[in-house]
Amino acid sequence: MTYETVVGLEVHVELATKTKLFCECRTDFGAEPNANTCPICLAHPGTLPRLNEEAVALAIKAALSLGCEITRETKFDRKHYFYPDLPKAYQMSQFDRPIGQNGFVEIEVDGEKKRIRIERLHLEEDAGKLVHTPAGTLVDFNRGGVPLIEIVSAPDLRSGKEARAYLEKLRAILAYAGVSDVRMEEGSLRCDANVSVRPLGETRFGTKTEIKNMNSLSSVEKAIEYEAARQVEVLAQGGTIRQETRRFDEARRVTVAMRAKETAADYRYFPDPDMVPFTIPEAWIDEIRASIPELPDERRGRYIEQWGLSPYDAGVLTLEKDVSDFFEATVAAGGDVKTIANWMMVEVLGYLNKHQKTIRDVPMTPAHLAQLVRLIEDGTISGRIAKTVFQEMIESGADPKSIVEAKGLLQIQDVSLLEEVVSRVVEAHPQSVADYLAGKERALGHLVGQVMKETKGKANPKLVNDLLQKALEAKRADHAGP
Amino acid sequence: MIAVTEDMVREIAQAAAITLTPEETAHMLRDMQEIVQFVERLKAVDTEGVQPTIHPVALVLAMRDDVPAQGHPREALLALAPDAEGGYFRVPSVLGE
Repeated sequence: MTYETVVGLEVHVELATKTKLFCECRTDFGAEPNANTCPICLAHPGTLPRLNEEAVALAIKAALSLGCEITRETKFDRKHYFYPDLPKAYQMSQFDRPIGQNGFVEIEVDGEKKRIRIERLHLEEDAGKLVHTPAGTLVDFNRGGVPLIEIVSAPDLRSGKEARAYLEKLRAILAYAGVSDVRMEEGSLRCDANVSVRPLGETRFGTKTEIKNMNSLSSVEKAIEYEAARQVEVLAQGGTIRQETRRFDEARRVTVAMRAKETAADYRYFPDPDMVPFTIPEAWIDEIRASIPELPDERRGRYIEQWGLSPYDAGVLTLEKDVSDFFEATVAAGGDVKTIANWMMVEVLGYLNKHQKTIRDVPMTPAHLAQLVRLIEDGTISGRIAKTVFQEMIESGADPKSIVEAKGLLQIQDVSLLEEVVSRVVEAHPQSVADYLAGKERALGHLVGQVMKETKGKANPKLVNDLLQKALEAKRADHAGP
Repeated sequence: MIAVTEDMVREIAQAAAITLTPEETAHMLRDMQEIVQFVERLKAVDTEGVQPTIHPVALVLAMRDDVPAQGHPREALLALAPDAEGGYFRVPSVLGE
């Protein structure tokens, strides 16, 4: 029997505010444990929440960027559970009036476009962080109370690949909108997946499991593919799927059962009496809508129409805002757009991917990359030498001109100097010369290679080609002569 | 009308993480039955066309600017907890949940 995978994602994103959702504590990542805490986020009796306007604005901005309708009359509700990372023993969240509803994200997988619906986007506070030690559990509340949005997709995804594409696109939109720094490795974007399978053609959903602990885009894809295959295997053997929470084991690439979820958890939601409901005025929504910058799809369209890039290249270059911004800054610094795009796609992204780095981690600047491209364009260095210069440039942050000078990599343009090398090579390779004169054009390539070798790759290849042809034609004339 | 049972009381106590003695359970059962009866009486009121009330106080929510305040002395906050270590609060182990 053929099965179909059904996936819905719940994504938590930390908003880029300076302070927490209900108190004036800072939200900096990496502070000393509990350095960013106060009586409000530690839930001391008698304290009251004071809502951060910027957090609401960013949540609205995120919702609008994802095509959501904004709930005009909204409120906060208490979600109750007992765990040491939650000092109030309830989380301030939104239950029946989420800030945003009915949005969507467009994805493209294997050339096919698909619209993934977003059911809801709500605002809530983050929990603290636990450190488990043999001497007890240690609690750091720096993250406790940091504003989060939770974005819940409809069960519209049909594979791990689609889930990854959705997450990549969602991440890009939120980064472009400037609502979060969306770094999975720092936990400012976290993702849980609800996965089920059903026979192809069946309209009812199968029993789902919830997958947690996926810390990268590729883990999300792998975990879902593994889990779907596991469920199909269980069903094929006549078993049934247990509704449970499972954890992705990164090292073994499998999902492992954490706890059963036989009954829906009773979070005993109710409106938070410490906060009155609030209205989001139309004028505020308009103001926020007007402040939304160019989003990834628009930017991709601009690269295709304005700069003539292929849809694929434009897609790759706009997937991450930082990469796209770097590309644009390089173009602005001068140079041929397509050449720069090519360097970005092949060398820059290749290097980042190989070394598992982001564009922020490297000291190279857009001005340096533009300069490198111009050095090739004006013939100062060859394309081959440029790759050597690039390696050094992306690692050290030195400017390409200094690298070229320091390492003596200037392209040899001196005709008389090259003529000397050419005549030496012609004398040293009579067989190749004979082959060329006999009509074997390939022999020329061999001779060009020899000249490049003699000049350690620094000769201008076009010049070498011209000079060699001239020298060889002269030989032909000699042979043909009287 | 919902009939409140002892099982229901126990379930609610469990959700709230409190332990009740048999006497307390019986007491809660009576209280909760009275609450349900009271709600039954309220149900008789005609609420046709009335907006649901979320909060009894008609206030406009005042929001705060996103400006960090001077930090609170961490040691003083940690000192209020029963146990702390190296800047962390310490609680009984929750591993093996």
